Amino acid sequence: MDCKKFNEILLEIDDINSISNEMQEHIRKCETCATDYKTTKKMYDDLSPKLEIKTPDDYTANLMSKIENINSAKKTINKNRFGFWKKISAIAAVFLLVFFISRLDFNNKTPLISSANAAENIFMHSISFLNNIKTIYIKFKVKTLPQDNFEYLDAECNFVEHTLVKEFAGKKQWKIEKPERAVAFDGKQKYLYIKNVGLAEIGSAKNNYVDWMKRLLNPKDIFENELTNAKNSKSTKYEITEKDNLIILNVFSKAKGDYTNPYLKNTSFGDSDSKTVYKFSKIDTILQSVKFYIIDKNKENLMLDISEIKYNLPLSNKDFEIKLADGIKWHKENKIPNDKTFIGITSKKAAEIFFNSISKGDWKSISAFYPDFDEMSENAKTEIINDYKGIKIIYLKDAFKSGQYPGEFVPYKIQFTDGEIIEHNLALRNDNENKIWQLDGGF
Amino acid sequence: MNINNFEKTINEFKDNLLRFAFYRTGSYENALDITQEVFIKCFEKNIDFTNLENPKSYLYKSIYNACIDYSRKQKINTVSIDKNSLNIRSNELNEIEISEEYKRIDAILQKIPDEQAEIVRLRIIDGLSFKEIAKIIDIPVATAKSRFKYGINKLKTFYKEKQEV
Repeated sequence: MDCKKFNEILLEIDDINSISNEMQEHIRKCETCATDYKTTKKMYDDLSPKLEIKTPDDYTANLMSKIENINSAKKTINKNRFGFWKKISAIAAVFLLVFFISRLDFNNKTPLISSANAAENIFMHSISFLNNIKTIYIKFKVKTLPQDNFEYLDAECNFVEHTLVKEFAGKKQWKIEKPERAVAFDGKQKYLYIKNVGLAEIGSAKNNYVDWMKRLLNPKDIFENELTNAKNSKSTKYEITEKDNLIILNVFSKAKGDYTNPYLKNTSFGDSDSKTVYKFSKIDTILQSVKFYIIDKNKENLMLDISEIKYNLPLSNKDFEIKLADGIKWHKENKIPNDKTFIGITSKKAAEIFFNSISKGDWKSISAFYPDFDEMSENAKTEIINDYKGIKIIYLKDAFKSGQYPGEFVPYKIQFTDGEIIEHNLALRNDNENKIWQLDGGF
Repeated sequence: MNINNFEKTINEFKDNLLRFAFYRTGSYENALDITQEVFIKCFEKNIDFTNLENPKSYLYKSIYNACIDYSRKQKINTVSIDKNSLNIRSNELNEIEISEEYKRIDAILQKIPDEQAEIVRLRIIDGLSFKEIAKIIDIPVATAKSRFKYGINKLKTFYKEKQEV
């Protein structure tokens, strides 16, 4: 073991007082590392709490008492709400039940129907209902990263809470928000805020900042799409069951795209073999909840869980505003530049220019390739410049395409100045008006 | 959501979360409030911990965000807190001792930039892995490691200089 390896392991070790035999052997021979280890141990000891910080004895009891109170209040609210809907739905119920009984083939209490026709009827009813709503509020959680784009899914991630609000009349404003990213539309422009890098951009109405989530903004489109699938797709399968007051519709779909290179397979909504579970209230076929599972190697992974949908809530302009952190201001998005360096070359060459420039700490010359950098906060910029200064390219491989992504992926392996090596794929696209290669996402 | 499971989760994580909040805010009382508020919010959001892949990361992340909100409200830096604001109340802990404990550790961490101190705190005081730290503060694992490395190396230099003196 050499000194570099010793120091690397020392930094990652969980218990500083318990080092491996190999490390002990090294410090017996190396006086510098032995002194270094002694200093590190002293420092860890100084930084370790000597007092146990504990909650008071009655902490759980007090907290549970508050929670029980909230729970009781919740039950009361739910009960009242049900009473309200019961009255509203009473007249429609008679019609709809007759309609369903005549169209669905069930003849026992919990029928199971594998029929695209029956699914079509449900979709048509939902479209008809959604045509007339004024506002929608959706609360949902997605397995993704809090700051990443709204398309990204990752089964390894925790669930991230999202909310969506939209008005279908007037300015047709909307907002989708998760902890580190929010996008809003005020009827004229779109607003993108990425909290962790302090990016607050105003873009045109044409910008697609929400990727797959735009479907949730137009739930009617989801069912129109499903309706088209039910009519035409042979690979989509349906199961309809009935339980309590709900109609449960399971839709099994195959990923759409070219997965000769499977890099993007099962990483987004559109690029996945999936099962979607729609739950509708039996009495009026109003959508109540949605669960979206990616099916990977016969295993179902819950990726999206829409647990709460409220229709026609009164919303004000404030509900569509994005709150920025202190010191962050909105600015207009950069126009697509016309830097010839990144036009008419391969994506691999563009990646090479990018890595060589950031290695020199020269981010200015690649501003056309990575315009988001200029929009980051000063702290984020400093951090990123320092992290990538001096990196070495170990390899860049030929680009590949995958799934429905319009750009290309360039596999790369780089080494940082501290010896750490990372390998990943750089996503690049040039489907803009100037055909300039630009970095799409992270690196 | 099963209330018994919720209570089990509270008991499993309450002390670690309190310590986590305390060393970020410097106030035992506020740390208590923050942990309680986070648990209550989880309940209001119908978070079912048994369904979460990693409830520990989820709770740490929630506390981390709540501490940031707390710091914003206090209009003080998240790390360099105003020592006069220390407000400790506990039946079981000696108020002076706990105040001194916070000041002692904070004085060491003051020697390195906030973002590095943050990672050192999460790694050494809270005993979290780099993967957990990266998830909590939304940075790549490589960045968490490099910040830790820079922070530790700076502190080491400081210790060595002190020894030489």
